Amino acid sequence: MPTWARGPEDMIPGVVPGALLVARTATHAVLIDGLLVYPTGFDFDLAVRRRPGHPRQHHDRGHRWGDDLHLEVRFADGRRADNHPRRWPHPTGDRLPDPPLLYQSTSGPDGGHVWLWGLPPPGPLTFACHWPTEQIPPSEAVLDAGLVLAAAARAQTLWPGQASSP
Amino acid sequence: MPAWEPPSGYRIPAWLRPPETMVPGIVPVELLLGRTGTDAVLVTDLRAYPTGLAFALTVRPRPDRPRPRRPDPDRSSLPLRHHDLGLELRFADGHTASNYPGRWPRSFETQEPDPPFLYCHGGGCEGGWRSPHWLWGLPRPGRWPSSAPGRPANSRRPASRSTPTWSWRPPIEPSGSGRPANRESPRCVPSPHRLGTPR
Repeated sequence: MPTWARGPEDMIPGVVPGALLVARTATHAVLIDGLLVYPTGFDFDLAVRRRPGHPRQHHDRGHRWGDDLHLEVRFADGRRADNHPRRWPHPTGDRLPDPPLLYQSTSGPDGGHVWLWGLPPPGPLTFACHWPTEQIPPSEAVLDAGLVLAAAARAQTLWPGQASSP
Repeated sequence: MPAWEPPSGYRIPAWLRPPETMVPGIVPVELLLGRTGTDAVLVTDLRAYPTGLAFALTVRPRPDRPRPRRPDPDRSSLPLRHHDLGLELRFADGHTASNYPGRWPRSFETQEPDPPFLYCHGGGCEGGWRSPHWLWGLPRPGRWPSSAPGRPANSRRPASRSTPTWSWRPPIEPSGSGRPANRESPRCVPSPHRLGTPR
């Protein structure tokens, strides 16, 4: 897996001490949880919670992108990234994609796991989502990017002096 | 349609999972429990709720070392060996909780066990091995003694930051049986004999 698609295996990430409630309707809540930060980007869980008594719905038709929860992350300098698969790059050779890049490695009715390649500049870091098929309107929550940058500074190498990870 | 659905009305008992209707308090700590020349064992993603503590037991293989394809003749691939990774939490009063299913009460799926109770449910491989764990019962305020590097945690305080996802649903109380949760400080202890030896 390319380096832009995951956090470094050989590091202990810094932890952002907080979870964000991005959206809440009468039946669903969407959380950004478990923010783990490396010098190259950060991991987090996109967690969907259903109100008890409202089980997930099963659609008879096949899965398609429009059925999924849409997520966008916005930096203070105007750059943004989202979880639409068509935005995933197909780099050639050793060329790395321009950050920010949002790569959702798992996706399903309960959310998924997300890696964001690139660290934000200081300022507001906005997480925005909407989910038309579950009637979740456009919603957003803001995190101080300073928390992410401080966590990145706390990340540690597991095996100091080793060769660079592939 | 899914291949299997639980019986109508079934809900996973509160002692086997974090509350679904709460935003957890995050414990801003990554614990390095053990490290050899080939693997590192971490406790990550600590999330505290009024009823217990969720975390992941994570194995990171050293990326610049070759990974044996068949480390065990009875196992078909590398990640499977991490199924054997044992974890025990030790409380200051002598109570312990283990992720070894043989030490779980036989009735744990239907009857609430005495806390502390450490439950794990599977694992996955994404650049290593990661297994979600759930500790039923909170420790008392205090530090997690650990011989491994990492900042000590106070796991009680984050629980107080947990907030209900829906304001009309009260948080689940720590113990539905009237038994008080064990609130002594736990200690994470790896099983070093199960780690690979340095090469």
